[in-house]
Amino acid sequence: MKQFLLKFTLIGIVSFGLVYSPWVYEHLVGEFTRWIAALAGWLLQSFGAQVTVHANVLRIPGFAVEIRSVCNGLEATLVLWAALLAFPARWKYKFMGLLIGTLAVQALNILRIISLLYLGALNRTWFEFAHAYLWEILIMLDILILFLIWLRFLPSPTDHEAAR
Amino acid sequence: MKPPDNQLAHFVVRVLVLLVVALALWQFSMKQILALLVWCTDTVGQLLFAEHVIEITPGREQQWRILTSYVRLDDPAVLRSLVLDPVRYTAALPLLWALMLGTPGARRLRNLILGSALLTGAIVILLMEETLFQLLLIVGPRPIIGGALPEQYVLALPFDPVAAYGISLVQGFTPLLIPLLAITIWAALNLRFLCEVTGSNFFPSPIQGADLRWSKFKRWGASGIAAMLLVLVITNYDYRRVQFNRAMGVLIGGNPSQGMEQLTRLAESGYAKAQFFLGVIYADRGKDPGIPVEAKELIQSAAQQDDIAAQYFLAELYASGQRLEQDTDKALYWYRRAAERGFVPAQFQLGNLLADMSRTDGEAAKAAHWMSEAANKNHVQAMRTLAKWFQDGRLGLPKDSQLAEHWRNKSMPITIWQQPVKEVAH
Repeated sequence: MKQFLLKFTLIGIVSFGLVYSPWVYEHLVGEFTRWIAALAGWLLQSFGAQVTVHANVLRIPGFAVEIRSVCNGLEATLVLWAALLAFPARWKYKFMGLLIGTLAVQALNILRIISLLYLGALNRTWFEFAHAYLWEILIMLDILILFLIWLRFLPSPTDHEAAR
Repeated sequence: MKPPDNQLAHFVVRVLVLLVVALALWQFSMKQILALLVWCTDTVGQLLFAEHVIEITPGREQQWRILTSYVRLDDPAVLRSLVLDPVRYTAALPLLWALMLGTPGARRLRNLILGSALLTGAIVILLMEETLFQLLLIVGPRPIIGGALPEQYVLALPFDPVAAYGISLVQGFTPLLIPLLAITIWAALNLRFLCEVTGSNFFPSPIQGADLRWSKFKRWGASGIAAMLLVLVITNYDYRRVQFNRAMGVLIGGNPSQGMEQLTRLAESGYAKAQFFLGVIYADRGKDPGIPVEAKELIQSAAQQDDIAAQYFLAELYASGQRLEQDTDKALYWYRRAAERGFVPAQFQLGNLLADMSRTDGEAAKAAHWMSEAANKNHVQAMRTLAKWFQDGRLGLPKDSQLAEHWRNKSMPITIWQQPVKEVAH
């Protein structure tokens, strides 16, 4: 348990440090954010929505959102990764968790972006509430639930030796 | 592979439903939560950081004003107030409440209260961290976001760039950190449920967990930490500074007569900082261009007690000759006293003044010494001046184009973060 907490903290710090190191941030994170904006835009357009995407800005008639570095779901994904990698399990399960977990977090984040875009067009107060409070809670809850489900689907170890 | 279990699904549904209730409760009790947070943050803040005081305008509890008595190097006679939004920090409380209430067990209420208290403690610490971050904001754009700091403010940073980066990094991740803390607290208080719901015996139960036993070693460790904190508080606590901050808070916060009364009382008791600011207020009230005698006496008294802001202010008055009769000797005297106490703008001004007056090699060497002191502490103008002196070989310094280049390069505005993506704060 202690090892898990220690590893979780270490992996978290290292991965955040790495992602926010100037080179990675400059070359990868900005690009990733724009890619998320493009994906959200493409999804909306495929449902016939009137949406334009310019770099990391999504615009519908009456409202626009700018996807920033902390809004791209990357930090939440890193938290989940840190938890999965720190937990004593076989690599096969870790990879599965990383893949499915990342997809799930990013899918929820895109839902968040789209919902905020339309909520902003409808009511600015509700947008502020959902943006600043509700979605932050829901994303973290999502990470917790994904981690618990992953733990549930791990084979019964004989029994996690590192737990000692 | 374990068999599917409804317990986890039931837990998730319960938490989602309770989250709605918790959010409503959180909104409903916001005033009380903020009042508690103000009390906690102000009390702990006074004990650990005597430089700040929280000033709340009635009816605007959702926006705190933090008054800080850090000396502003570009203008020591001005206090800074920072604005803080505490509501966002409390947003993890409903998450914790929903998780605690959604977890089956007899200890739900106990865990709810204990967890809320722990999370509130963490929120208080992060609010203080936010205060430090807001101090960084005084200097310009968010360092994590990027851009150069306006050079006249570079010295006003009470932190070096690495500390500034660390502070801004923690602040940047606070929205993620607080819910994460809420989840961690929930998990720590519900290890047995975690074992049940995940079918794993990885999480030690508090009863069987030898880890959690209160060993003699841990008892000594905890006592040591508590003793260290106590020493920190005792050595750091400055009652009169807290009183001063309070008086300034009242003065700025809409009750000038009461604030002046408190400030006068403190000045009469001989508190230098209060004397200096009272002197500055009286000086600004004077109708003629000169400074009233009362104001001069107060500022002088503060300067004699080694208040660097007062010493620098007085030196500037004597050097400029605009509001006091020009007196270079007195200007030199007060600049030197502030410079010797490490006040960087005074070191720079002293270097300049000595350079203008230097007749002998000894005087020139002193000018170069003070200019180097200021430049070594990142005073941008001092760096540029030193670069010029090295370029021209002035004031006894060798003509050295490499050193001149070195100081010129170093004088470029500090950029803590550079990134191509345009990131604009809310």
